[in-house]
Amino acid sequence: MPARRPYGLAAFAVITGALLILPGLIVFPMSLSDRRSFVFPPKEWSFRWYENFFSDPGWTETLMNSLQTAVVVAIVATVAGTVAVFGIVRHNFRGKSVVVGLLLAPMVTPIIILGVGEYALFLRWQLVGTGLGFTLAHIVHAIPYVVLTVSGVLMTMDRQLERAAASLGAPPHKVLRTITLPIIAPGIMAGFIFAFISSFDETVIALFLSDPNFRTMPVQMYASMTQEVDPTIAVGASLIMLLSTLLILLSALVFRRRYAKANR
Amino acid sequence: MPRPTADRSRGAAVRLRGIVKQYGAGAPAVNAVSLDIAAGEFISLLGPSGSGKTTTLNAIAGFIDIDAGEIELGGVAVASMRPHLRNIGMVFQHFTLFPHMTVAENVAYPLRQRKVPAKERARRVQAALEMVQLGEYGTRRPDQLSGGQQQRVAVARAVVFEPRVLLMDEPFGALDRKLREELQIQLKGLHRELGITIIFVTHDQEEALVLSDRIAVFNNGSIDQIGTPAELYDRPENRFVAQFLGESNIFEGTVRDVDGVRALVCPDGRFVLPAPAADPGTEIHAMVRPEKCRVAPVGPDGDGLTNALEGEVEEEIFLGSSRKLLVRTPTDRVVTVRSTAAADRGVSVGSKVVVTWDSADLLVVR
Repeated sequence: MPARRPYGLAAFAVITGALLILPGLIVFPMSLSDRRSFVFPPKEWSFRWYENFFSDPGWTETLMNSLQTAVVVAIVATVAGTVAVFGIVRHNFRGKSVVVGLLLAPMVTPIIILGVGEYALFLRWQLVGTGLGFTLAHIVHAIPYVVLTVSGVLMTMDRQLERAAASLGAPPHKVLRTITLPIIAPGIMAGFIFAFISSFDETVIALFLSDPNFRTMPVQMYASMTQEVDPTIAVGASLIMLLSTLLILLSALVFRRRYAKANR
Repeated sequence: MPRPTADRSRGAAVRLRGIVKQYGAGAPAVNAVSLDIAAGEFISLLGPSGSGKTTTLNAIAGFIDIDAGEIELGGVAVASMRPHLRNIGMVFQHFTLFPHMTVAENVAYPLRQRKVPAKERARRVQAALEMVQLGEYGTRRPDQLSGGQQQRVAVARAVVFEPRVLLMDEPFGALDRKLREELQIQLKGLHRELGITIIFVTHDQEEALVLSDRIAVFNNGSIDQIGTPAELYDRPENRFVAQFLGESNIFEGTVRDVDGVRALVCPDGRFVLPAPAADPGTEIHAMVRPEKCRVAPVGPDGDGLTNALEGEVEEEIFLGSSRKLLVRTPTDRVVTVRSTAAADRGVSVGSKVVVTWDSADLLVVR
């Protein structure tokens, strides 16, 4: 087939990308405003809202809460999701499709319903307003991301590699440790990053589970936005965007290196 | 490495007894396969896809559990032994170098599993890589090598721990013809040098003929015939073997005594059968190889019993050292004749010809 450069498609992709990202990018200039207002573009620039952010325990504490929750969620969801994926991909058992459905359900269930349900349950268990409550709720929400990314790499992995390792004298646990896990590591890494982000910027469930004792940063931002005019929120938003972007970039780089190698 | 010595004691004998493997319902993938492989022998399991040759190989390697039968390696029963304990080298069709390790790390892998000290490990890895002419490639990544180089590393990795048996599952199937032939020659040399038993699965009859001491021809889950390449080619026991190994012209007919001579009577004519032929009245198949046939322009009529077959040359295929002629007979069958270029000049597409052969070259097959 003659290679015709798809300029039209490229333009379409760029426009779509711009529409997706530009409304979000507005928080960066706003966080640098020197006025207590959301006028855009700002007339004067300053770091006063960054100062405000890092000196106000209301912000720093919730940032730390968010980070801690997200790290624990990412670790637990990655381990649990990866183990589940091995069961699903490598074995056939009765009710497998039900298990797959359950594992992916949190992704398709309207999140407000998850939030209401978990709120009702956690009220009874006295987990509302606790770090543990947030962590458990977010793990449920994060597992589908891990299941999707890890099952993708595990399904495409060449199982002959494992047979080769066995023929060379490696017992099953060593095959897993020295062959399978290193090869699917990029998928596990991606799952970890998605799980982290899904918890870090999760707002709806967090609104239900927050109380004055424990809240995460998205909840703090929501409160700040609805109750006062305070550009500090733009600082928080900028930080979230920066962190998420860095993590996504990192995973993209890891994947690109793998693909470049695989396709050479 | 010492210079080639055919020290076959370094290989192990392999005995298969009544191997059965059934997947789901229907005919078994492998049905009662028995095979005695001598220590140091190079044996090919040859057959079309689905004939059970790879299943048999995987059973020897331990990748599948067999439903019945026994497998012995060097006198030890291994049927219930896990693959990693069998100490068998294996090379796969698809390149199975570990992508996250360098070439040297790949070759060192089996030595690590056996806790070989670092110094000796490095020495043996280097020796194995040099054996496959890739001594300089230890620090490369597998994806920086060509397909042929990858398979050579895979061979080095499969023999570096000095297994007594090496299994190869169509190892050159994914390579182009020229490279394949090169690697076949290298493998022959390697076999002589190492003296280990090699069990080689292939569907390529030419490859099997080139490499093997003996060939086991698989068909529908069992072995049709086992023998040296020459035995299989010159004395195929049945139609399947005759057709699968090399080209053949097969005639189907009844044995009759014609004028005191035992002959095969079929729609194409009457052909004299060689000495210990079948009893009169039986239905048989008889085969003649294309290179045993001669063609000549149609001349005066014979007596009807001279192994002569009239026809018209339909296609002429130039093969360098020889020509292949496809001759269509009046009964509408095509007979293949392979002739050296110098002989039967003047015969070309459209020529009316007579195809003949010595009656000794007509083989009765089941």
